[in-house]
Amino acid sequence: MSAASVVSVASSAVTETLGFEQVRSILSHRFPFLMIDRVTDIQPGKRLVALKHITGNELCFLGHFPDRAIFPGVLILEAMAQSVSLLDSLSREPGSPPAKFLGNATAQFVAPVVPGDSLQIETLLVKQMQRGVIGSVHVNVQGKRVARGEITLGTGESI
Amino acid sequence: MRDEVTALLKSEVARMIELPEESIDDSVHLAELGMDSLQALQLLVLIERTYQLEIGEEELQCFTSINAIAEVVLSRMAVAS
Repeated sequence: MSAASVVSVASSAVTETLGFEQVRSILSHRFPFLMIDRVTDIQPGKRLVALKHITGNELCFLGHFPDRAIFPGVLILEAMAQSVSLLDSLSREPGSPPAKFLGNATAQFVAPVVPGDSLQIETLLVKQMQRGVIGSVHVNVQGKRVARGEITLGTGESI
Repeated sequence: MRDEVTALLKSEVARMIELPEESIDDSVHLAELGMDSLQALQLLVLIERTYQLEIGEEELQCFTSINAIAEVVLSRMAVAS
């Protein structure tokens, strides 16, 4: 939790956020595969809300699709997985290996995501163990659901 | 209850490791069939949701065979009731 900074207090709840550089200090992903821009809410062991802004300059729009830019579902899934990994990292004891290897994913994509959209990715921790984590994820754009799923990540340790 | 738990476990394990249910021996070590630790974690969460149980990480090491997992589930049920 040392990377988090307290930025606001609403009612009795303390809201902690992470900027892009703090996200980058936790996740090992880099351009063009770092899919989280900011974290707006963290409750370690429970919940995390992250943002991913979609611009027309995303590399994927070169081919997906040349005549109509639609953000690929697989990249939304990657953003969901990175959100789970962030929550996992922020919920573990310092020094323990983070879960970042995708083991299983079930997901539904219910509306297209296009340049100009901002993904609000809400992750709930379902189960966290030494070797892995399961997170339930909902993705909204301006309050409208665009994707949901459940993701299992492993730390890479063998059975 | 044991039969119901065993049937659920066998069905889920068969789905996870992509083998027909009838080919899975209830006493065989699941790692030998290709089941890994993340699949065991998924199975644990499925059990928790299905039977409204809380199962700790330390019990994952008992997830060796369908019979062994059934024992864990039934003992947890007994504690919860």
